[in-house]
Order: sequence, then structure tokens, then C-alpha cells
Amino acid sequence: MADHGGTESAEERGEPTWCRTESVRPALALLAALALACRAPAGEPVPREALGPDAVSEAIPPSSFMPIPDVALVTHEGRAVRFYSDLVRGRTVVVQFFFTDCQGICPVSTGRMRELQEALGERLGPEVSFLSVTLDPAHDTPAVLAEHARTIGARPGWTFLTGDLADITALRYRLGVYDLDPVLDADRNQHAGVLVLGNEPRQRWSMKPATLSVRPLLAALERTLGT
Amino acid sequence: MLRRRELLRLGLATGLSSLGARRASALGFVKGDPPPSPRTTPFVAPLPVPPVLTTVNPFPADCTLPPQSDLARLRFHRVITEQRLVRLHPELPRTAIWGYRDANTPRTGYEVLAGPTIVGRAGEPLIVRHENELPRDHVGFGVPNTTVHFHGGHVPAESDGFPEDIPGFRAVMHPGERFDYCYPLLDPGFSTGQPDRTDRPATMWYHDHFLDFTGPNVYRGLAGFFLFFDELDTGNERTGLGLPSGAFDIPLVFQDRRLDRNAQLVYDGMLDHNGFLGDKELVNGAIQPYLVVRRRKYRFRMLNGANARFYGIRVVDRDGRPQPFDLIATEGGLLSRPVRGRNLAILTPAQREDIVVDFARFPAGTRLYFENRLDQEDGRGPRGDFEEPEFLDRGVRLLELRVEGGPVEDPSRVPDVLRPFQAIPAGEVARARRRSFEFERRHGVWVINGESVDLERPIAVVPRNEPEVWRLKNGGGGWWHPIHVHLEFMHVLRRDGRVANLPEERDGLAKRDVISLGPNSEVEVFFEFRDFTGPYVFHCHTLEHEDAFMMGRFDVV
Repeated sequence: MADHGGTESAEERGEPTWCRTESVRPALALLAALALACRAPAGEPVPREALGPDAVSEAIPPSSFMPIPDVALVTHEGRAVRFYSDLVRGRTVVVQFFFTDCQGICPVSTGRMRELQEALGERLGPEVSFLSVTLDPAHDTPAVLAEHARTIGARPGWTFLTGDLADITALRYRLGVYDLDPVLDADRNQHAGVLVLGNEPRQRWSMKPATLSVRPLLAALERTLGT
Repeated sequence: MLRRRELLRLGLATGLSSLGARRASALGFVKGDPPPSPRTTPFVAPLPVPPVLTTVNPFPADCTLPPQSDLARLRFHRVITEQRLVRLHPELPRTAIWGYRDANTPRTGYEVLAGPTIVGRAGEPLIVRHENELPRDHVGFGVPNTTVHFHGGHVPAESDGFPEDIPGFRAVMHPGERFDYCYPLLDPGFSTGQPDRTDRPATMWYHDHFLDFTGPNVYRGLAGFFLFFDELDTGNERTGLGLPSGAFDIPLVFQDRRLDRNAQLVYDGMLDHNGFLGDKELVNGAIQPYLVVRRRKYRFRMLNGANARFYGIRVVDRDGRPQPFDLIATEGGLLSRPVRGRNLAILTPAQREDIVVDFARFPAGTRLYFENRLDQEDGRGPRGDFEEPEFLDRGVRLLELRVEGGPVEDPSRVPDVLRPFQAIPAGEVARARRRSFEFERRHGVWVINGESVDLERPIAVVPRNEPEVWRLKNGGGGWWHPIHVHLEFMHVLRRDGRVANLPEERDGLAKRDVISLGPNSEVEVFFEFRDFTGPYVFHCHTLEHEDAFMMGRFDVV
């Protein structure tokens, strides 16, 4: 609720429940310290009055109100990875949620990523990573994902990921790949039509329909990458 | 329906289950909502009113005005797009925003969120040079590339603010670059020798339109007013229609924002894709300001400048009782005649309505409020549907009006006839080319007529100066979509199969440039795309829907 100009619940009077700093990542060691650090009085400002306009750019803390979950996943090559710190931090990524058994929209979005792979050529890997996260981890083991990767001709730079369904669901929600309608949200097929484009160093994220043709999709990726 | 905070609670609580509930709670994840903005005391700062953009010396411009333009009356302006610090509320530190500044105003001399107000007059062309000084190395939401859309303007395609560069057609300014915009301000139809003086605007605005990132860029502050005057709507109470003018003609842009504890703007490019909602209400860039009013008539030009919030505006007294006002204009300019005794204005994103409130009947000391009565939880839109929106008993107060002083002379008036125009004759409708566009969500993405569309090719090729009827249909799912079509105003013919009958969209009385499609709405609108050729766009003006490609290109040929 917005301020009404008078009333305020006890909950609203409470302290901010977390801090917005780039370093807030759900790494276990940090948690207790953050919980304490966040207990600064509500609204106590960090003075930035001394900053001139030219200093502003550096002065704005990159604001993302929640970290990307650093969930433990396994790649199609059987490697144990952390989603944020190993695959996203410092990189530009295209993230797809899919499952190998999917007959609906997944083949379309996977096909589009293959076209994007061709269009990117040598830039896949060094400049852009593809991350395809399964929505059906019970079926999509690393071995199944490896076979899938071979079948579709995925090249290095394109990683297929499986893991705990709860972790994957948390990741999916955080990346915005969810539907407000719970019936639609429960349908795995609804989530494979979206590609999440992210430039982590610049904190620049957007979502695109996988059903776009490859040229506008590539152009969107360039807008995500560049100035 | 599952609400966003429940989804987040579910998702993040499960995601962090290994961390233990107590720790997750300490981080606020279990609560789910983003942290609330810092608390502020309402109605302690005066309403800012953005200054009028001043002129500069003529310069050789990189844009072309039509030959019918009266170059003797041409004026030049320069606008800087920059990052600057503004104070949104006296109790907060300053907030870094992106905004427009008059090049004649010193770099550190403009602490206003809204850009300078451009004032145009019929038949007096303008050339506005925009210079992009946004930080090239920006980190965070928003992209420092920009293109400026003149929302409501009848302008050449090159000056309309197309969302991206396409082959042979440049639109985007990168940091360090500039772009000249030519605004002829000629009456639609001028090129055929049949200029339509009844098709003139009143309250317009200009804002960023960069593809994929219009939501975050406009949210950072890239928006300003563009007001239009002529021999009827003169800007002088003693001439023309005599509408309240000058200090008594006040633009109000309603916007919502969310702030972190350092008062910096919060926006999430992933989670906010359904449509951003904030918990701080701003009017003209100030959080819950106040305005001292005299005991006379005022014109308020209301603009919904929010990304995704819908406003149901009432003017209420201290006890919440609605007060009547006269509706005199929508996006499509002055109405044929005023609609008197209104007490509600529903504004979907990008819609405008001008109202006149007479404070003569209130004693000094009276406090009144602009209040938003719509109930909205997420980017789908407000509760209820277009026919029956659900209202809150007590709204969110946006602006306080303090009636002060004794009786004053008030030469202004709201005459019974404003700018009359004819409804489209049945014969014109019958011979119009018909097109149909259905806006829908499939597999988590937006589609138009079942397809993902992009701006590389038009989805409609529209012959110039010929009648068109477009059927705009909401494909359902509980979403609202405010549909904006560039270049021309729309005559609303039918809504849900019946003649559109609400005063604010009844043909012959009002025109619009944003059509509110409620969850099940189907609306038929009439256009004639006149004078200019080239690529234009139409799109949902819930900016996050637009950024996810709920936007089509049409080419006028």
C-alpha cells in the first residue's frame, strides 16, 4: 500500500528487513552479518550531498532488491556448479527454462537458440553464455541432458542444467519466468516460451519471446550487451 | 488468484529452505514483498510545476519540416538528457534520476524530476534538439540510449521517436549523440488542402521510447509535458474560450515509485515484467505535495505517467466526499462541450484528462485532496473490469489542495461549447478498411494476433488519407492493456459491440490516443492516417508489456 498520509501498521514501522547492496548474495557465511547490518534505523540516509553530478554514476548502488539465488545445479557434463557465482556473475547470459520431453513450445525456443548460436558464432562462450535449465529434473538427469545437447548440436558455451526442483522453481521465480495465474504457472509448458537476457556486470535484464525471429532476438541481445 | 508476494514467498522460501526459516526471515524473503520505501510525511512540500522550455538561437537542423510550415514563426529549443540529483521529498536525501533539462538552465540549476514543459501553438513549428548526456558506463536498470516520442503529436515519422534504428532509418541517440526533432504543429490533413482545425490536441507529453527498456528509462524520469494552444485555447483567460489559464492552468503528472533506504529508485528488470508498481505516489516528481489554491477556477491537466498503475481520480474533501468538476479535454484535445458535474476520472497509463475545479464555493482553510480510488495489486491492472472497476472506500491521497484567501475576481469560464467536431458519418465507417488486432498472452509472452511481432517489418501497411477501422481486442487472462496508436487520434465507434457511450470516449464528444482495454474489452476505433508516411508503432502503454514486445509497427504509405 502506498502512504495514505496518516496511518501506518506496526509492520510498516519496522526496520528494513534487508540491505540493498550488490554484495547481498545468499552465501551462508554472509547471512548472519547481513541480518545484523540490515538493522539500521528505517530511512537513515547515507549522505550523498557532497557528490557532484559527475560522481552520480558511480554513486548509485546497482539496485536489485533480491539477489539471484546461488543454487547448486549440475551441468550436462556432470559438473557441480552454483548458478549465480559460476554461471552468471560477470557474464552476459541467455536463460531458457525447458524440458527434454516437451512437445509444446520447447522445440520452438530451443530452435531459436540454435539459430542464435549460429548467428553468434565464435562469440558464444567468450561473450555470451546460454543456460538451459530443465523444469523436469526427475527425468532430465545430466546424462539425458548430455544426449539432448548432442542431438541439438549445442556447442561449448551452451550449458544444460538440472538440480533440485525446489531450487529450480526458486530460480525461475527470481528470473521472472512465472505466471500470475496459478493454473498457468503450474503448467510447465507455459515457461518455455520466454528467454531471459541478462548482462550481469551492468545489471541489465529483460525478457523476450522465444517466438521472435532470430534477427530481432539478436538485436535485443546486442542491446543487452552494448551501450 | 495468486498474488506476487505469495509467489515470491513460495519461490524464495523453497529456494532458501536449506538456510533455515529464521535466516530467510531475517533477509525478508519470507515476507516476500520488496522492502517498503522510507516513510515520508505527506503534504509538507509544495507542488513543483516544471518551467516552460525556452528558445535558443536558430541552428542548422538535421530534420525536415513540411513545405507548408510557416518558417517565419519557427522556434528552436535545446534539451539535455542527463543524470541528476533531485529531492523527491524534504525528508529524503537526493535521488539520482534521468531527466530532461532546458539547455539554457545551468547544469546544477534544475532539481526537478519532470522535464521542462514544451509549449506549442497551432501553426508555429518547433525544432527541438535533444542531446544525450546520460552516463555511458551506467550500471543498473535502464539503458543510456534514448529516442524521444512526442506522445499525441502529429509529426513526421523521423521525428516521432521510433523505438530502434532500422535499415535506412535512424532513431536512437547513444550517449554523446544528439537528435533533431521537427514538430510542424500543422493541423492534420494540411497536406491535402483540408486541414482539420477541430483535430487539435491540448495536453500531450514527450518521453523515452527506446526498445526493450522504455519502462526503466521512463521510470528513471525521462518524461515531460507538451502543451498546445491556439486561438480558442489561448492560454489567456480574457481571449478565446476564456478557460482558466496561466498560474491557474496546472499540469499534474501522477507516477508511482519505489525507493531504497538511501532514497534511490528501485526497479527489477526481471520481476517487474508484469508491470511495475511502486509504493510512493508522486505528483510532478514530488512525493505527496500540496498546492495552495485561490477561491476561483483552476484547470488541471492530469497525465497518468506511471509505468503500469491505473488511477481512478477523485477530488475529495477531508472526509472523503467526492467533489464535482468539469471534464473539458482528453488526449484528443478539448471536448465538443464540457461534461459537467463529473466526480471521477479513470486514467490508464499515458491517458490525459483536463478538468476544471471551482474553489470559489469553499471557504478559506478548506483542505481537499486528489485521491486514487482504484485497487491494484499487480501489473494486470486494477480490480474489476472496464465496465465495473472496483473502488476503494478510502483512496490513496496524492495531492493536498489548500484553499486560501478571500474572494477573488475570476474572469475565466468554461463555456458550453468548446471545440465541436462531428462524429464519423456512417458512410465513412462503411467504406473504411478494417483491421483487427488481438492482444494476448501465450506461453508467458505477449502476442498480437497470435504471433510474436517485431519492428523489422510492419504488421499493417496503411494507405495515407483513407479511412480505417481497427478492432482492438483483449485476448483475456485478466489483464488490462492500454493501447496507444501513434500519429492520429482515435474516434471510438463501438465498445463490446455497442456504441461507445461513456462521455470521455463518445464519438462527436471526445477523441483519444490511448484506448483502455479491460480484461474482456473489444473496441472499434476509426482513424485516418494523414500527411506523413513511414514507420510508426502501436503498443500497450503498460510499459513493461511494451518492452516485452507487445508492440507492432505500421507503415503509412
